[in-house]
Amino acid sequence: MRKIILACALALSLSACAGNSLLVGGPSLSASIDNPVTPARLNAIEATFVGVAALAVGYRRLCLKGTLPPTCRDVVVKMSGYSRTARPLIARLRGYVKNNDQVNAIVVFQQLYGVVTDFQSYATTAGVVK
Amino acid sequence: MNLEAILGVINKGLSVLETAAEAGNDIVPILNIIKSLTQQGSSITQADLDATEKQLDKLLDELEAPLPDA
Repeated sequence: MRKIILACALALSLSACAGNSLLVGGPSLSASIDNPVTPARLNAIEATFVGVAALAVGYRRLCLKGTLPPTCRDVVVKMSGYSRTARPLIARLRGYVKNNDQVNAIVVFQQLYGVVTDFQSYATTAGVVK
Repeated sequence: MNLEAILGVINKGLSVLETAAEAGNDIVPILNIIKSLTQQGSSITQADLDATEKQLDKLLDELEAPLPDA
């Protein structure tokens, strides 16, 4: 019974991602959903988040220095929301990868990937990334 | 957009920040992490993971810190 539930959960997560680049195979960082979430993939998505977060922190510092228009505070608040959303996902993903719990790791990886792309997209729209 | 494409955008953005030194010098080492990521492939050591985790947690702490009054 448990195996059936797990299989259904995986099937649902796969169908939910149809059309998403996560389903694209090959050796890229956006490796196929068939691939396990290895320590390398964990590091890749974390390092990507490091990059986006670094941009956000740089923007925040410039904002607090008064270098940017006052509306920058709204942008900083919005970006901190992405951070708060991602933090528990990152913690869970680390645990799943450590225990090689691939079913849950793949699901959480997808969720975190969504946050990363949304965060990066917002940063671009808000002018954090020139 | 895949992670590689995002990294490309981030690299560009970080380069801008690096030029604008006002953002803080500790942004610069992050560029190196991003650059090395593309060269690591699948040979990730525990030290690599620990370094990335530490850097990420530090950045998220700063990003989530309350804003001082304007």
